[in-house]
Amino acid sequence: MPTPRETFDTGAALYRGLEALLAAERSVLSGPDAAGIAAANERRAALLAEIAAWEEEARALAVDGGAPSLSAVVAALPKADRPEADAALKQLAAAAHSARHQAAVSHIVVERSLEAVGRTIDVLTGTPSSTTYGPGGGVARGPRRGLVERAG
Amino acid sequence: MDLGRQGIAASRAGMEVVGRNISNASDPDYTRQEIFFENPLQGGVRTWTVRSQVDAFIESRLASENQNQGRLEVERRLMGEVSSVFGTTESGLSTSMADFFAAVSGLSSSPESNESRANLLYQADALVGEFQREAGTLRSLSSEIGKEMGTTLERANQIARDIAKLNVSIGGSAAADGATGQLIDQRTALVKQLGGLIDVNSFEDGNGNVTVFVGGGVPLVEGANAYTLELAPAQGFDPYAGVQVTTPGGTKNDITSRISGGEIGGLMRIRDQVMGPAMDDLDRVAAALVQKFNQVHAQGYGLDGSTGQDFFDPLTASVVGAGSNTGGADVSAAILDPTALTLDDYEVVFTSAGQFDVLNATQGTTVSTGNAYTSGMTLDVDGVRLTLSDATGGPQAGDRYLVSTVRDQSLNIAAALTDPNAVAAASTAAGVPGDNANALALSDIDGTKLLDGGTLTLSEKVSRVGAQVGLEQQSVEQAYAAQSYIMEGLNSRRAEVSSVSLDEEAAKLIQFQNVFQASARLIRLSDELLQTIINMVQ
Repeated sequence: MPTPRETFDTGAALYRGLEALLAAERSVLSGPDAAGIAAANERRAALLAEIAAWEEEARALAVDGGAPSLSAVVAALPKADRPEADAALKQLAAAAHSARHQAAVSHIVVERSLEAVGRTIDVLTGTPSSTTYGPGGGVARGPRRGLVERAG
Repeated sequence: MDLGRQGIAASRAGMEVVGRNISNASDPDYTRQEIFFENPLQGGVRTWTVRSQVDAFIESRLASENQNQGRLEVERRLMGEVSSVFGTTESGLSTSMADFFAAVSGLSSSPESNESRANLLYQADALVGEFQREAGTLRSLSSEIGKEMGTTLERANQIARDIAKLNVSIGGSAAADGATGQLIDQRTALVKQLGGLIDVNSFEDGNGNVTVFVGGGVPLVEGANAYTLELAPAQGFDPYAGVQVTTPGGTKNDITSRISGGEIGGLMRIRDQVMGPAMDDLDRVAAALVQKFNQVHAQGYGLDGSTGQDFFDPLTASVVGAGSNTGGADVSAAILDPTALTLDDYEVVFTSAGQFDVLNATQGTTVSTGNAYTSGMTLDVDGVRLTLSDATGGPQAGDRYLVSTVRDQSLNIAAALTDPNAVAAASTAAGVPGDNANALALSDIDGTKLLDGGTLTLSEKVSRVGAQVGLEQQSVEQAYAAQSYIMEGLNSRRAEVSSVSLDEEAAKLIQFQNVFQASARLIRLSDELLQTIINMVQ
C-alpha cells in the first residue's frame, strides 16, 4: 500500500508526463503528418488512462481516510510525516495546474487548427458551413461548387 | 507559455504549407511543398523544414528543352512569314519569271508586234516588282528581327536583374522555410523563362545563390550582380547585330557565335541561315538575269534601229567594309566590263598597312597576294576596277572589304527600257522588223544554266530557293511538333512530382480534421481529469 506521499509523487510524475506530451503534441498538430498526430493521441490516451486510474487511487485514499480532500489527508497524517507529504502534495498541485495550462494552450491550438481546416475543406469541397462573412454574419445559402468533390 | 507559442507557430507553419499549396495550385511554376519535422515526440517543440518537391533531372531537362521551345516558337513564326514571301505556285517569283520568259517567247513569235513588245515590258516590270517585293520584305523582316532581338535582350536583362534580386532575398532569408521555397520557385521559373529567350546554364552554389551563364560560359548573373546583354556591332560584312554581355567594368564579351537556343537563337538562325542565304540567292538570280539579258539584248536591234542598249539597269559594284575593321581606308569599285563579270564576291584583305591580298570569296581561291598599297591606286579584277585610298586614315592589318557585283541586285533591279520599239528582237539592223533571232537568243536564256557553277537555270534557281524555304519550314514544323510532345511529357512528369493536387490536399486536410478532433476530445478529457485532481487537492 503506497503512502500518501508516494501516491502524490506518482501523480505529480504523471502530470509532468502529460505536460511534456501536450507540449510535444502541439508541434505535431500542425504537420501534414497526420500519422504523427494520431500517434500522439494514442500516447496521450494511454497516459490519460493511467492518470484516471491514479485519480481513482487518490480518491480512494481520501475516501478511505474519511477526508474531504487530499489536503485533509495530509492534515490527518502523523506530524512527522506531514511536511514531506505536504511538499509532495504541493508539487502534485503545481504539476496539475501546469499540465492544465498546457492542455488549455493545446486546446486553443487544436480549436484554431480545426476551424482553419474546416473552412479550407469547405472551400475545397463546397460544403455549406456556418460562415463569418456576408450580410448579417452569414453568406447566401444555396448550391456551392467545391474545388473538389468530397468522397462519401 | 513559450512551448505554447512554439506549438502554435508549428501549427501555423504546417497550415501555411497547405495553404500555399492550395493557393498556388493553378501556378504551373509552383513546386508543391512538404513540411518535415525533426525530433518528433521527444519532449519539447519539434523543429521543422519545408522542402519543395523537385526532381532535379526533370527541372534540368525542362530548362534545356525550354530553350529549344523558345527557339522553335520563334523559328515557326518567322518561317511562316518567310515562306509567305515566296508565295505559292500561282504567285511569287517563279510565276513572274515564267510569265516574263513567256513574253520573251511571244516576242520571238511576233517580233514586229507592238503588243508583244509592250507585254514584254509589262512582264519585265512585274518581274522587277516581284524581285523588289521579295527582297524588300526579306530585308524588312531582317530589320524587324534586329529590333526584336533588342527587345528580347531587354526582357532577358530584366529577368537577369530579377534573378539577382531573388538571390539576395533568398540568401538573406531563413533557410528552409516555406517563404524561401516560394522565392526559390520564382527564381527557378525566371531561369527557365530566361532559357526560353537565350541559351543559359545555371548552378546553385553553397550559399543558395544561382549563377547564370549565357553563351556557354559567360556569366550573366553572379550573386547580387546582373550583367547586361546587348546587341553587338556586326563583325562581318552583313549589318546583322550579334549579342554581347557587358560587365559593370565595361568589358564586352561577344557571344554571338555561341548562341543557338531560346528566342534569340531562333531569331539569329532564321536571319542568318535561312533569310541570309535566300537573299543572297535572289541577288544572284537577279544579277545573272541582268548580266546575261543585257549582254544579249545589247547585241540586237530595236524597231527604232537602236542597238547596244541595256534592257535592265546595269549592274553596279558595291564595297562593304567589315564591322571589325580598325583602319580608315576607303575601297570603291566600278564595273569596267559587264561581260567579264564572274558574279563572284571578292575580298580585299590587308595583311599589313602597306600590303593586301585579293581573294575570290565565292570560290575560296586567291586572286593575287602581296599587292603593295599606295593611296589612290587601282586594281582591275575580273571586269571590276578597285580603287583603294586613304580616307579617315590608312588601312590596318586585318581590315577586310567585300567587293560584290551581286549584293542587293534583287532590290536594285529595274527595267531600263520604257519604249517598246527599243526592244532588240532583231540580230541585225537590216532584219528589222521581222527578224526574231535576238528574241530567240533572249528566250534561250531561260534554258541556260547560268547559276551554281552552270548547273541551274534562272527559273530552276528561283524554284530551288522557294523549295529550300519550304523544306526549312516543314522541318521547323516537325521539330516544333516533336518539341511540343517533349514539353508535354516533361511537364506531365514534373506535375507528378511537384504540382499541387487539390484532391490530395483536401484529403490531407480531412485527415487533419479527424486527428484534430480526436486531439480536442483528449484535451477535454485531460482538462476534466486535471480539474478533478485540482478539486481533490483543495
